[in-house]
Amino acid sequence: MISRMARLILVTGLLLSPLAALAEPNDGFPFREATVAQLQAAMAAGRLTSEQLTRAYIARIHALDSSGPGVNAIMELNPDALALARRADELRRRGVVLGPLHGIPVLLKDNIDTGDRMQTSAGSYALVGAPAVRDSTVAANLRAGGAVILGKTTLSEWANFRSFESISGWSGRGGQTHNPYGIDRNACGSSSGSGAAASANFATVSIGSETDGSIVCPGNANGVVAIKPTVGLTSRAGVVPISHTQDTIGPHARTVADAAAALGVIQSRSYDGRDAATGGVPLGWRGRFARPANLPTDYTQFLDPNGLQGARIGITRAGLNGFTNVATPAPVTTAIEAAFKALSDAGATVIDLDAAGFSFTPATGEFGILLYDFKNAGWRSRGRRHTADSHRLQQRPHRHRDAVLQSGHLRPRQFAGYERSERATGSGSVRQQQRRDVLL
Amino acid sequence: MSSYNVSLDLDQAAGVSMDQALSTFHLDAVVSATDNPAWSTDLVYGDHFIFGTSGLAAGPGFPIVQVPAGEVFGVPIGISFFGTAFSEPTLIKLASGYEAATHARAHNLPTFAATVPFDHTKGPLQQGLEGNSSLPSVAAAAPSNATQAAAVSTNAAPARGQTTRAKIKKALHQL
Repeated sequence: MISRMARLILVTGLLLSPLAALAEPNDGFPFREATVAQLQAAMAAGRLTSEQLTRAYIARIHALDSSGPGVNAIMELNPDALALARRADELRRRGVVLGPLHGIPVLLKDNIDTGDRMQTSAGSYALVGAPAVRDSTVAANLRAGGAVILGKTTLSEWANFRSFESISGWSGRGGQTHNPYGIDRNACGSSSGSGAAASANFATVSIGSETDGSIVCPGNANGVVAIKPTVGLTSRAGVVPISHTQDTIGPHARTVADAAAALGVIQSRSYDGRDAATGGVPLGWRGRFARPANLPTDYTQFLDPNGLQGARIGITRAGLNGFTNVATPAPVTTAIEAAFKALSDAGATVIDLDAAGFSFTPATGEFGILLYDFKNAGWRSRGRRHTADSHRLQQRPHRHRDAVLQSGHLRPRQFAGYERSERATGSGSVRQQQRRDVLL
Repeated sequence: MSSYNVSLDLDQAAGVSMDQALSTFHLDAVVSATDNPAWSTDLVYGDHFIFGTSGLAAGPGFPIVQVPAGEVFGVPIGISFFGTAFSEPTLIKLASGYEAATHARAHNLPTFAATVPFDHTKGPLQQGLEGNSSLPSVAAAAPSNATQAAAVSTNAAPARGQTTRAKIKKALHQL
């Protein structure tokens, strides 16, 4: 009788375990929607250690990312994360707090170099093999600020500058990133895992990169705050490049406060020596702007719950009616109108720029610039002038473009049929091929 | 296609245009919707971008702060605050004001549901499986005891599964 009952319990347990595993860790997760300020207060008061926090995020990632619903926002966990957390705890015990992210677990997009035991692959097998030789400036700033580098996030391969038919959030190495609001929905991209991970509470903040939409679109899709900083505020040194004219690195977080705190840590307030844009006038600006001499150290000082009171906001609906011939459906436009109305409800004066006859000049030169910049970025060993000079594609010549193309990892079969326009391995010289790819 | 320098000039014109909007109308920021809400991932037909406004800032290298602003059947949608170069302090102030006034994310946290939306998507027969069924039982119509037993056992399993799933769904909603 007892054994039959035990067997029943055992069998029931086995049957239910895959589903039970899905709900259980969340019910018990103590840091759901925890903010940087809350966690810092708990750590300062000795109620929480960075190690406990890091362990909790890792357990949640195991329960919801690699198993359970399977968000797949994480490419790789840092084998040294717990060591970093213990070091942060030790420093705090000695009274040393390096910054607002001290002891806070942070995830980085897989195109941001970390000079540790993790790969930095931009999602491509072509870059897998050896870790980056040194940290990107952003990763170095996080480390210097006491943050715990928890791991790397999935992305649209090569930050989506690869094919017109690529799928957002998909990479050969990382597979498909999913959206925590609905697993069959897309997390957008290219900082897909960064946005999804912040939303899923897999870390306190995460860091992505944007050339055009790659931070803000995952922010929108995954329901998190996203800051795409001015080009030149954050260094692109050690980030797999698309364009030195447009690339920028910025945070995803669940609150504006957390994103602002992260921005203060990752920014380069002065020339970082590895990205010309942090040294003065970014090349695309034609002398119209220079970096302000005295950038803020802490962006949380600008937080204001009444920030819209008395503000003047210009709204535009230009472009909201669809890129193509697909009209924006009514439930979406209704939600947008409600969002606009909230601006005036919060005390802002709202000016309808379209109704006032203003139209924005489109950046029609963009694609040509991206093609040129991409070709001249990390891909060419003598292109020593720009962002990617310090990228390891150049530090390790055997990994430069020709090697990547010849590695076979761009062959269509590697893309499991999801990529139809990859033409990197046809006839002709590598340079001709590359130009053809880029111009597809 | 234009030369590189001409392309740079064209993109700068976009930045000049943003600055003109700000100065002409004495604005603190420009706001638009960020992107259409998340589409279902489709490995055959690809991405379903309906609109996106990041291009207003991409060419000139200007900043954006995107903040959750609402939902469409549970799928989040956000707005973007745009400004001129190095206007992060202003954009952060405005976005934090918007967040404090709306709490859009707090009102719509992720559920890790398999799909969304999932309300009102089941047919009458599927709804019947979730209990209180007024449908005639398959087992009742079965002629022999043996078939009846088999039918009961096969019916029982999905019913238990449904209950478990319903419980989990409820639990997930509280995440």
